[in-house]
Amino acid sequence: MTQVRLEKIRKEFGLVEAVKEFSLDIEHGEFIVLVGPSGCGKTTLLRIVSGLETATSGDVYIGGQCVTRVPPKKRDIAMVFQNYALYPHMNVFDNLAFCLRLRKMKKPDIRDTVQNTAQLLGIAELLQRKPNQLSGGQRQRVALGRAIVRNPQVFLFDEPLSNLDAKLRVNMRAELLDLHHRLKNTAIYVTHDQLEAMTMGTRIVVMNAGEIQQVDEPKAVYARPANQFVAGFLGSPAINFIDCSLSLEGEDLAVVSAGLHLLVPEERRPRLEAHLDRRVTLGLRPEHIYPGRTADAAARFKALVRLIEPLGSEQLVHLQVEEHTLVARLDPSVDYRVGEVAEFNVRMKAANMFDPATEDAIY
Amino acid sequence: MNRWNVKSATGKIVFYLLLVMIVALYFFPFYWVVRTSFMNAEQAGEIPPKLFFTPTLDNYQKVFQEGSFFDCLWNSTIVVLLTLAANLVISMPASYIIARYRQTWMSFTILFFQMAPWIVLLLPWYIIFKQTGLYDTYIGLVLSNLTYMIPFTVWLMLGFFEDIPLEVEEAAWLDGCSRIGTFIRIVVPLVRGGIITICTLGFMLTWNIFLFPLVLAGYNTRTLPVMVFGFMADNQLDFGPLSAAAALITLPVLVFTLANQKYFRRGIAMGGGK
Amino acid sequence: MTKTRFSERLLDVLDRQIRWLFPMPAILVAGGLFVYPFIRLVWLSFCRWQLTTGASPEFAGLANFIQAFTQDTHFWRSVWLTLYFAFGSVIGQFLIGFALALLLNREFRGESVFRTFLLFPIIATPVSMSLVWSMLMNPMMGHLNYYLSLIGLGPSPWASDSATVMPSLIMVEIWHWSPMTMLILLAGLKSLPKDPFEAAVVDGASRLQIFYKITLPLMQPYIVLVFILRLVHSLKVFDKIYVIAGGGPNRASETLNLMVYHQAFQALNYGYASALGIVMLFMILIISITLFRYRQRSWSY
Repeated sequence: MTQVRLEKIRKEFGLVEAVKEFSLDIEHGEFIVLVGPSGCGKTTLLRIVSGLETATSGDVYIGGQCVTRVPPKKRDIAMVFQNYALYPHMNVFDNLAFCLRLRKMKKPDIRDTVQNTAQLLGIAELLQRKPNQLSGGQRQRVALGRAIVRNPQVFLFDEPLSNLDAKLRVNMRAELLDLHHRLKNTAIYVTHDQLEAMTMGTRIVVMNAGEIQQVDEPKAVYARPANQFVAGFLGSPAINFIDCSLSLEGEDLAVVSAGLHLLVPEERRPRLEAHLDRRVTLGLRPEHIYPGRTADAAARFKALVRLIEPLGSEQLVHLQVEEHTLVARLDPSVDYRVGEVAEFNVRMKAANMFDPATEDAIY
Repeated sequence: MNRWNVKSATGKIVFYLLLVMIVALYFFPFYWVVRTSFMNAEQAGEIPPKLFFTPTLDNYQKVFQEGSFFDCLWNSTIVVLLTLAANLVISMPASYIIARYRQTWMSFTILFFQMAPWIVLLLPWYIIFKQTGLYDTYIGLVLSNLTYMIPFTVWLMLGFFEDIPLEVEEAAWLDGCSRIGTFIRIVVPLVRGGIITICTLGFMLTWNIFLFPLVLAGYNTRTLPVMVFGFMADNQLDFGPLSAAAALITLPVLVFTLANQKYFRRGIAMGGGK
Repeated sequence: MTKTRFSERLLDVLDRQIRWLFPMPAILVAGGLFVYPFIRLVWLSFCRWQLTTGASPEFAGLANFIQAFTQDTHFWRSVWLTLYFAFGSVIGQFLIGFALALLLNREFRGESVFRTFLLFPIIATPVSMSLVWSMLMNPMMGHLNYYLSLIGLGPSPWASDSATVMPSLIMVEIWHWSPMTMLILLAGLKSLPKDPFEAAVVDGASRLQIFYKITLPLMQPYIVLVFILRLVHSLKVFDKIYVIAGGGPNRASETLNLMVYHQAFQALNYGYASALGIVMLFMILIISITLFRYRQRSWSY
């Protein structure tokens, strides 16, 4: 069942178009992540779904009903704010109980629901405290609890983890997902952190400048980005872009650039043939480069080692090929020295190619 | 910037002496009036004034009996409380909207109203009040007080409302609270400091106001300042009773305001001297 | 999401209109108490209406204004007295307030107690204190003359003589408000940055030079603001003057304020009083606007 449907949502602030023709169907149980750089419109979109902002045009459906003109409190959604937005003058219990009291729930029922939610989140001992007596992580849980207590159709998250320190963030990510699985609800999650997006979403929506760039499962978006923006946004360290040209040499098709001559694998040839003798942007992820020890001359190149960043579990090696700089993610067992010239191979089957003019991917 | 960084003993003595002198000068009338209120006519008229004397409560008795003191006390109390309550109910929502919707033209009009000389409006008020039966009523007096309380309150509360993050209100809306409900249950409790400041300052202003009740209050609703003035006419040179009256009338406002000194000072700092 | 009670629907309707609903009472009160009476006042000022003759108001154009400006001997005197009182008391408040602020701009023990004492004049009921002052200033029985004699000065008639009444009133006003001026200027002094002062001391500037070249210019915004606010307030003072001097002796203390009051509520000359009120309003407006303009201009440095 489609839990949330967004139909041609557009939002203008004066002359600025913050969201351009956004359409998306979200199924029940999905954890949708809206990800993109600051100002890409993701928060605006979330607020439109919540009802705190109204779209300039387009419709929002929740649970099959059109809620475009329905005020936020009637949309059966809950939102977790970036700054938690707890009620400062109430203690944790009252914060959690607030909406239940508004619904005129009976006192014992309120107490039970609040207790259960507090137990679920591990904040049961904090019920009598006020927000200013809580740590950041605890406040976050209370904000979560407030949303859970409402038992809504859809959960909305507005960058909830960005105010937490790194370690806490990692823990909370896992907890949020765990909760999502337990409660079996639908969630829309906004973040600018591509790592969060990759690890948490059932599907991710990459946005830039108000437009959807790509919607798909994290693995798909990572392996087959729709354009250079998506390719460059996801993945750390970022993908290596190399300006190349295609040339037909006898039976083979190759991407060529200064110092690089890589053969295009069979499966990719048909599409690329349309771009023959034109320029192409090659996208190589750091993990697609590996030490050149196989006899695979078709995708091998020589490079100068400029910098080595040992990370323990892997090493990031910065390479120089003529005027190109590449970053490779290599197994730590191989020893390199700065300044040495070595041979490397490329996994061309996984490489991405883009049209330099449109920046769209070529598959 | 500290211009006399005097650390010597004599410097300090001089400084504190100066302080005492200054306090004495400013406080002297208060000391004098309390003292005189316990004197009978003879002692009050004595020059040079004696340091010690046997106090008497006759003056206070006179005030209580002759000056319809308790009636006027009741009137003053009612008018003040009603004004403070009406002021909060009327001004706070208005101030909230101006703060949230950034209507700068409204704040300018408020500033403009604050500068008006009220004597100018007293005459039409008097005529209108008499015609509409508001003369000599509590409501009439409360209305007249609201003219200076509302602009001041709206303006002062702006900062307090702006300090509340919109997200907290949005969370309440999402929780199912109406905007009006959010205002009452979330916003108002969070501006409690502002409310106390307004009430402290408002109590002082409303208790002390003289010109409006002088014209708009009749026999039934005379407030204390008006009563004191009448008392003055009846007891021309009787310093004793006059002092008792003067002291009694200003006592409540002094006690109340000084008890809330912190809020009073904050109000002055924000109001910049009205 | 389906069943809604009537009260809930009412709340929804009200909620949507909150932007107008909330300010409405304030606007109504302000409108009712300011706008309508003001219109009446203007209309009245163009009428001749002397209540004592029993006649009803009759339209007379600018007659009242002409009378005030040309025929009424006291009018201009009244304007002068108003300005005299206002500027006199504000300048006095200022000098004393500033001096006190400079003196107190340091940490000392008993600061809060001191501050508390200084709040008394501001908080106390003006009518009460005016009564006290009029008793103290009584030429024969008042203690002020006694204290004057102790330091060798002759007795003063204070408020009973037309020559000394205004200075006496100004003195009371200064006593009343200089603590306020001091508090505000002190807050200003405390908020000044320390660097310019430290630099000046290092440069070897004398205390007087520091005061003139650094303290004063930096304090200018505060000084101007306080001056304007206090001045506008002083133009409107009524209680003290009325209680202590009543406008006398011989109308020697009848500021515009009091003149309007007398004409309206004692002479019952409603038309004329209204005209005088309008004149007073204009006067205050012009002064305020001029001062505000000056403030804008002198702010850039």
